[in-house]
Amino acid sequence: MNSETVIETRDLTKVYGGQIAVNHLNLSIKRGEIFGFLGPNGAGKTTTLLMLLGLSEPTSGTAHVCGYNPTREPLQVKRVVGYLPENVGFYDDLNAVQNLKYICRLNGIADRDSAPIIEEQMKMVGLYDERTKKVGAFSRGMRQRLGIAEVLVKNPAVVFLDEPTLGLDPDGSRHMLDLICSLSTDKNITVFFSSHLLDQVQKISHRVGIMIKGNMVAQGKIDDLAREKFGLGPETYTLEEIYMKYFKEVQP
Amino acid sequence: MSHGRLVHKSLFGLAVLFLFCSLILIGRAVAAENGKEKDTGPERGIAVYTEYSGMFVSQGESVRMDITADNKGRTDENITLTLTTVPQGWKTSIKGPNYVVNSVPVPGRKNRVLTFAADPEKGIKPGSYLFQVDARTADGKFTSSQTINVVVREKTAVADDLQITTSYPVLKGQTDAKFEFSLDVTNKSETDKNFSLTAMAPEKWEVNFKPAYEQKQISSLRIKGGQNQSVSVEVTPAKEAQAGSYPILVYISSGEKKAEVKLSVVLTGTYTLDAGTPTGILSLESYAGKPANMSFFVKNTGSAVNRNIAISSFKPENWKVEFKPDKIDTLAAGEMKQVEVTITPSAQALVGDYSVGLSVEGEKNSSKTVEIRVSVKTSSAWGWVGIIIILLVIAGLGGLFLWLGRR
Amino acid sequence: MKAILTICRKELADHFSSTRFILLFTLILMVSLVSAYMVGTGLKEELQGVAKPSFVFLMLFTATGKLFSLIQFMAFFGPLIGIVLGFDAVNRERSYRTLSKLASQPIYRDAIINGKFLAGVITITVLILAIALIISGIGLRSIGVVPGPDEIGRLAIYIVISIFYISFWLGVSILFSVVFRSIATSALAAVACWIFLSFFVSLGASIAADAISPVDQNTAMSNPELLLQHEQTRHILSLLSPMTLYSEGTNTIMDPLRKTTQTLLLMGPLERLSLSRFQSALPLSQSILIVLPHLISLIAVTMIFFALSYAVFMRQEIRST
Repeated sequence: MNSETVIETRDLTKVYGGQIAVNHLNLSIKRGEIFGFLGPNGAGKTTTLLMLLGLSEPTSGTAHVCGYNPTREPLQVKRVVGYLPENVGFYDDLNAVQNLKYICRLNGIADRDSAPIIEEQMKMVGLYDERTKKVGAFSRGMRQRLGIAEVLVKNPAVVFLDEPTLGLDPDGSRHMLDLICSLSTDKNITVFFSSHLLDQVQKISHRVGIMIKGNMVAQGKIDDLAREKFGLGPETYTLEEIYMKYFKEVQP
Repeated sequence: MSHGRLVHKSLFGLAVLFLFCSLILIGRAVAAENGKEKDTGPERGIAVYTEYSGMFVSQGESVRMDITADNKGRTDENITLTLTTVPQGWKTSIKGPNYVVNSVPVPGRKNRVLTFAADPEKGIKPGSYLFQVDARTADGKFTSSQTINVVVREKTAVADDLQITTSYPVLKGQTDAKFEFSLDVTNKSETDKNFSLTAMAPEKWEVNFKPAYEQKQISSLRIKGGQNQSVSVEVTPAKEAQAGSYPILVYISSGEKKAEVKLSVVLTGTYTLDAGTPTGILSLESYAGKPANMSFFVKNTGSAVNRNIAISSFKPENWKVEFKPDKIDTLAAGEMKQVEVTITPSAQALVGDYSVGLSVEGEKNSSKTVEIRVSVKTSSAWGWVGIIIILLVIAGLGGLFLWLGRR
Repeated sequence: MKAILTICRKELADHFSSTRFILLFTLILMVSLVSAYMVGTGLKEELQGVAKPSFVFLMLFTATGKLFSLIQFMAFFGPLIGIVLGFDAVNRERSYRTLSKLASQPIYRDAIINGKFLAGVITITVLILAIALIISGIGLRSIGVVPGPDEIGRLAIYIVISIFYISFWLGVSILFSVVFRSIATSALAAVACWIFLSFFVSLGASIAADAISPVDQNTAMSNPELLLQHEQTRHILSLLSPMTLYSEGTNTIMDPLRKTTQTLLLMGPLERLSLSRFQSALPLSQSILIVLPHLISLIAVTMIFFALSYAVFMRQEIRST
């Protein structure tokens, strides 16, 4: 595992109609790292993700993803970043393969090249048998897995996962978490994911960041954070306790 | 009075003649006495005879023939000639070379030839007429007579003659008219003959001969003996012929025989005008509110000078039509003048074809209207404005693409 | 550019396989078949005894038959095609939650709206061409008229105007699909807009003209200038309706004898006489020049609406929620 920085932001700020959504965010994430991005709803996590993708323009500050500026070079960024939005949608009237094929085409992958890639990804996420079913009939877990497959067809260096396990049953969640781990370990893909299911984050993340009301209140390894707040190791405190402590500090 | 003197003169002449004859008779008697043994003819004897004793004449025709008073004897005789039988309706006389005679001295064994003349009065009827001429010696001892039977027949073409007649030898009309004369050609001879037809007309005039009621042109015709035929003579005056009277001489000839008839054409002056464009194109393209020019000619096609020719137009309201010049003072026959016309459609004119009439009016109802088809078109200037607007919109869209598109 | 084509291709596949589009297409096809058949049989009777009828081919489209002509039908219901093709273009992606995913692919964001608009325009073109060709075929079959180059040119311009007219409504409905998150809201807004612009504007134009330049029935006869002014006011105001623009434009281009798009004109008796002397058809170029303002207005307003929806879409934040 090298220590190349793939995501870096400096004072990244986004203001929506007078409200500060993201406030002077400084991030540095290395290749192959799994970064858990925590925070309550409306804390600015999705906004950060969109800014890193170039889908939203920062009000000030800079961001770099794999050395590209998302604002100036959105295409290059999008080419190396796979993004799984929260509660991802599909074209329900198409089957799984057709959905993926469309994404492949948008990534400039020719149909004859895309067929084996799609097949591989479908097998990997365990949906190979369901590949000709209409996506509209898929369960939530299947959709999330299909979403991962969709993110992976473009062979990304970085994946952004927005609440990937939200609404999944325990088995589905587990499966998903295994998948995320394998991305990092098998493919050396940087995983930047947001969630508020803290136990899951604790399970797989190398590092976490806690964002509350646009401010990154804490950032680092869970052990370090626990030590910082309670002077104890993470074995004693769950991430949830750490998080609540930070949350209470900000919102008394 | 004069008659008396004439009788006196002739009596005097007769006396001289008598004396002279007597002298001759005495001399002859002496001579006869001398040559008795040589002359074996009768002492005296006369005869009178005409050239013909029977003949045919046609109605109205006079009879002329020789009448011979013959002295068959040796004695000189003074023969008195008398027309004893003259049918009614005839005037007869016996003539010498100079006088009408009733008696003539004829020496022995000589004769004298005189002329018998019989002239019918008007309305003589056909039939047989008998004439008789009696001859008598002075002493009346010897007489002779001769009868002439003249049969008058219906007037037939017995004569070897050619006749042309026409009922209307003078025709009047305008220069552009055609004149058709009708001639009756009669072949008075007994035999069929070919007649050739020629005419003498002013220069550039055209004269054609045609059989009546037929359209063929002929230069000769054959007419059977004693029959007649109609020939029509069609005269086309020269276009530029001026008003006046023109003679046309038509000759009909067959061998030596020749007849001519004089026809006249009286041309009255014509007043006609023509107008048009030199190219024949009578359409014009223009834009609404913009003037368009064209030129047309006015020509005096009549044979008289046309004066004060006015030029006017028939146009839609709010249109302007201007002429240059706007009138022509005089235009001689055959002369042509050019007129420039400027047509300005109204600014609100619709696209489409309008009819604009240009009229020239001269003397004596001579006029000509030329209809011009004016195609009003839309100026394409606004089209360019529209295209500029579209280009601006496209440029705006392109700007928007550049501004927002690279995300 | 490739991304636009990919999106366009997918949208086309969506259009041609969606039930509502097939229903609409069948409806329009049936209407055009029925109207062409009616016109065809009517024309056949009419043309008997006419030595050399001119522009018969165009009558297939303009003759009203028993109910309506095809171009009237297109003027009234063509907008529905555009609305159906566009009212959910963007907000469907939102409600399917595919928009942010789509936007995160390596494409420029405008490829999405451009591709959708392009797909709509292509669909409209296919539809109109199909209808025009079907009617032409029926015409050739039933009355045996062969169109001349002038008629083909007019028909081509008619098709172009129709494409822009329906594309205008496509642009309007895409704008609503960008502005409103709810599909139902954007559909309703587009239909309301259609009804307002197509039916109320002409009504409103008359009322406004009465207010601006009132005409008394009694004085109208004696003062044609006033009547004309009233009519012109009404005409200008009614041109705010794309339907009026379209109707006037197509009626003029499809009828070579029509010399103006205006309905009321002040014309002197001599001018009328002079104009009626040659009952000639306008050449195609002149007809084009007459309808050019209409055509350009339609094209411009279509482009402006597209630009508007483009700008709104591009300025919008892509949110997954």
